[in-house]
Amino acid sequence: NPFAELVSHLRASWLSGKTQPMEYRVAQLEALERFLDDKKQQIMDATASDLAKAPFETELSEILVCKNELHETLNNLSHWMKGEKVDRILAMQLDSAFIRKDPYGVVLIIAPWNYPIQLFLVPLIGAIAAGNCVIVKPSEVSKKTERLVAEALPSYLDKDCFAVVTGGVQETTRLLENKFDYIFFTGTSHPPVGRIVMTAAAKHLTPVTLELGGKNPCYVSDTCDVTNVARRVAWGRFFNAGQTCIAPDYLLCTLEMQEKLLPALQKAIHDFYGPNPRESPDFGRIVSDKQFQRVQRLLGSGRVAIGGQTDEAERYIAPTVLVDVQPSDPIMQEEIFGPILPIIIITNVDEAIDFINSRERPLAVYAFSSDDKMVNQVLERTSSGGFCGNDTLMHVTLPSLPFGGIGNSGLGTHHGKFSFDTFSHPRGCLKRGMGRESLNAPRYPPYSQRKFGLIQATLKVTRKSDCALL
Amino acid sequence: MEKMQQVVGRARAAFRSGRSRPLEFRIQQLKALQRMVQEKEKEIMRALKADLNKSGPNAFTQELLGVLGALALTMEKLPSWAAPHHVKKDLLTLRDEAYIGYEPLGVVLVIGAWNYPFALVMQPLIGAIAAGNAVVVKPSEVSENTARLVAELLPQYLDKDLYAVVTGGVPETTELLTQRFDHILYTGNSAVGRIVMAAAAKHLTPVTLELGGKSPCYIDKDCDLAVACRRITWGKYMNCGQTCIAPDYILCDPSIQSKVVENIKATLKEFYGEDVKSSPDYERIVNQRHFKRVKSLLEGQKIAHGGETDEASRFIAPTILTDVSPDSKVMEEEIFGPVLPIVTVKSVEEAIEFINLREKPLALYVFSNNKQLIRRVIAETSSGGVTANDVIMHSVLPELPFGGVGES
Repeated sequence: NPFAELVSHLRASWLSGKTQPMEYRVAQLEALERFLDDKKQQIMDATASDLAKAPFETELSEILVCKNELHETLNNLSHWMKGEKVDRILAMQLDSAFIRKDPYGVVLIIAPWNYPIQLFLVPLIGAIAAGNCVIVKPSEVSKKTERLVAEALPSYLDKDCFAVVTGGVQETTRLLENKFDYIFFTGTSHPPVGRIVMTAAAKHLTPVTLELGGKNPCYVSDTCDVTNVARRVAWGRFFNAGQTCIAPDYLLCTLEMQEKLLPALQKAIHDFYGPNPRESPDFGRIVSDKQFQRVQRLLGSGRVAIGGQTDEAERYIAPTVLVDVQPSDPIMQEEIFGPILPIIIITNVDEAIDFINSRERPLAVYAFSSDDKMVNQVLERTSSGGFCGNDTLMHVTLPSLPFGGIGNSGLGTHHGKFSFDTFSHPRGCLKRGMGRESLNAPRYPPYSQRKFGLIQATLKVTRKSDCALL
Repeated sequence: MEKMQQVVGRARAAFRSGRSRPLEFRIQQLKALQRMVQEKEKEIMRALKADLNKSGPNAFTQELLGVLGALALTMEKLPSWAAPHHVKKDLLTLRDEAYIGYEPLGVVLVIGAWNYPFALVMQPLIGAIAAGNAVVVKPSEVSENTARLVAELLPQYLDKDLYAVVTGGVPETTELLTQRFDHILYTGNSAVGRIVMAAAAKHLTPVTLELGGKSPCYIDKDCDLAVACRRITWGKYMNCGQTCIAPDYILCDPSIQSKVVENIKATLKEFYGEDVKSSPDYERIVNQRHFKRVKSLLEGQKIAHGGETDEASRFIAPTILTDVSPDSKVMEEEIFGPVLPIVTVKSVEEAIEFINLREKPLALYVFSNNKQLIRRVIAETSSGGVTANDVIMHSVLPELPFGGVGES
């Protein structure tokens, strides 16, 4: 096994206790920030090459987001590391009860190509903060970024505890044969790579977080500010040329609303990207030929109402809106992950909710309405990783909200403290003294009703301070 | 086995109806469970006696007291647990509402174990109901009387479609695991834990695996040996050693080994009298297979106390082994029986190294008057949970999360 030595080296480093002290973790995290600062231009160049990402988008989604996570973590690390003291029952008042946050050991982070820096760096921050050693496996699809990370990152971090491994499906499969103490995977739910990762993890009883995806529905009610809705939806859909796991995947609205939305969407696209988005420096490209062909095929569903132009050489697909789309059309069978927004016609909110609930639970659900009650209806009657009312994408910008999927869209959460907790084992600890043995006496055999009465009496007294037993 | 599909399908349809969501409904179901435990106490105790020879106040304490406590606590706290949790916002979202909502997952599968057959089905069931889920319960077929009783009782007290009981052994459980659930909680051993997780992976179903391992118990030279040994004896031999967080083996300096043996012997006499076999408080091994398994661990060992067995009644006396070799069979697998090996180590460093060379255990115990030493043992090892200067008790405090790490 080509990676066995590396994994065992990292495990030995972890067992040595090297990553435990806060100072060590802080030093590594600060080095990560230096990586972002020193290599900013190279990051912009690499993502521009891989995805034609506009510098603005790279600064926002790959650098600023990561720096925010770093600062949030550094600001709170000592508090998070302390663990939590818990309430004790009467009989344990003189004892010490607390939850330790222990590192797991050796963590594997597998990252995708669409936000190639953010999607390995943000979990890496959590894994380091929690005291683990980490192997990072960036995506081979975003080639330039992969090379940058493999070449530059190791020199910023402690080589005994952190490593970057590159490769494709073969290498990843071999890597997954090793025993890890936690696996964090971000990627697609189709093909079922998430299942493959979890199955490999099951062999070693390795806990996992799977950040997957799905088709994020976007319900637009008849009572809303059409201009604002169009701008917010267009922004969320066309950012990074649609290659965002939480992008609004398809729209649900009435025919009347569609008629109002189309010109508004047209205007928003024009405002954002000009009359010819292909010439706009702010509109991205599809990452690879394979992805381009996949997305291009989906243009055959329904009818093009806006956009529809493509250029294979540039892997350009124009910001596109499709109408007359049927639920059985190809574009409604897979996560689009491209700059195409199909509109599905429904007659009321109940139909929209039923439509959403008849499909796999998505990573995000969006609902637009000036009527709060309608937004709440959609929220309360559907299930999804996260939810945003009257906007798109924004719920993931708050590190105080857990980010993650449910069902087919994923398992586990991260961002902010949730990252730290994801990579920590919550260890329940009780420290007692050797004295006060008389308090323990009723629990020992030989058992008797009298002893039991004493135990129950203790129970009656302590019920108010909410504990169950002894 | 269309039956499994039907049961799960019914539970899912019932969940989709939305009736398990309102808090009032959940509390009503929990109250019904409370009534069940109170009204059917005799039947439950009878089943426990038949399965594991557990009886009287001991059985009540082990299996029912905790369940009643969990029910009371859950009913009291549910409104605050289920309430949305508002979070810190930033400048951009200052005017918005940002919160974490706690929503049911859907259909939960609870697979119980045989050693605390009632409690290990009820505790997860309480949590799953409280969170608003539909639940399919699969009690362990090894503790067959309790399984049968649970299958009879739950439908009498709970919503029949939302909460179902499925009985059976390996083939039935394998079939059940092909169905899609929204969470699976399994209590049992690591080998089956892997099978459960692999089956769950097919549906991307999150799992909670309460497994086990060899929970080490380090006794420092500097401690009150009499108290330490009494506490260890209690935790080790309760339920005839068949407790996932029982102290599995002892690590101590060779100079105190014989004192440890003497103290445990004395405590055993105090607890069970001269003739353990006739004590009403000492349980039996659950079945022939486990009886033979535990008995075979005694082969070639130095028996300092106990060692008597009786196949007919599945009796194994409280046993202590000394100078045990780390490579022997009794040090390879989780004992899950009334056999306590002592492995000698020359220092706490050696003890820590010994523990870290092995799989991460469910519980870790350390006895010492030296607070620094305790702190060190905890900091330099990894385990599901810890109790210092006692055993078992960290699992009794509901405010502490109970669970394993790694193999446990």
